[in-house]
Amino acid sequence: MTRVLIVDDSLTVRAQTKKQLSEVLENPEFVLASSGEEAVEKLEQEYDLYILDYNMEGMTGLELAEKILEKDSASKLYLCTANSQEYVKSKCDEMGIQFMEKPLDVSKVVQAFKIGA
Amino acid sequence: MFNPLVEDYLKESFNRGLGKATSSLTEITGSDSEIEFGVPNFHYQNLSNLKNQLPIMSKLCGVSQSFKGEINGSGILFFSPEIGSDLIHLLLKTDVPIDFVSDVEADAITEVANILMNFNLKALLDDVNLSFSSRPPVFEMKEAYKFFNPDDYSHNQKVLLLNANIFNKETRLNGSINFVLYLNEMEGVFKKIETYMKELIGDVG
Repeated sequence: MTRVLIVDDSLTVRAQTKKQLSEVLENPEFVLASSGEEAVEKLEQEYDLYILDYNMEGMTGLELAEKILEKDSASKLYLCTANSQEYVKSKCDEMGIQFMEKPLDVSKVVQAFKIGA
Repeated sequence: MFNPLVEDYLKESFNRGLGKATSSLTEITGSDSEIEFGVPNFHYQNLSNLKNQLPIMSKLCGVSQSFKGEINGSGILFFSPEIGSDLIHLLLKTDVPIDFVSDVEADAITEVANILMNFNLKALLDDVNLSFSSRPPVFEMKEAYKFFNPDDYSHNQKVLLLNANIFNKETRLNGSINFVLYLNEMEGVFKKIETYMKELIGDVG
């Protein structure tokens, strides 16, 4: 089973991401959150993969990623954003987070983390 | 007022469209001069209400383009003459009063608008599998209301207005752009988006 936490303030993206990953992961289990703050409440559980939006009201995806990495520095994180600012890209490199411009390319996610099909 | 599912889809589409446009424009200007956009706003309204959103009597730069295919219609991207001058400065490193732009300078502005309109329209239509092709864009500067030929548009015509701030940290570029989109099939597009969203939510629970 692959446990995935999807965090995005857009219902469209949460649903699209869940659907796309359902098609390539074997026996996936998803937990969805619409904000960084809501996601933090769900960090009691462990996940195999984190898909985070960068640009959210309140806590950004990068701030959430820091909290996740504090808990487990080996976490597999993917930061997706429609806004490909150089700052975000370089911060992801610095933190060892995979960066991707929206829309999510599921094949790259699977390839990067060597999970699923 | 949109159905919340359609509103969420539109918000995400335009975020994505502007994000893709940013990447493309960064390639043109160089990564040291990234053109950035704020969070977009959008409204679906009668053309006659546009005067409340745009300085319709003021001279504006506008790039018009028509679209054909599974959707048909036209779009106009408006921005102030100051934004036009700042874009030329950013792209070509020249300072020219907007009233005296050469073909090369007009072409540079037109390309920016072309990228913005097409990336946003593509982001809007991709997930609902509607394809289109674009006619060549045309740059003009005139009073905003003159862009809407009464023969082509009725005042009750509904249009989608997308507004976003545009800025660049390295230069004086800082203002807003307005993309007015009219499609014959707009209501049908919204219906398709609603169906898509309901199916998507239904599929994933």
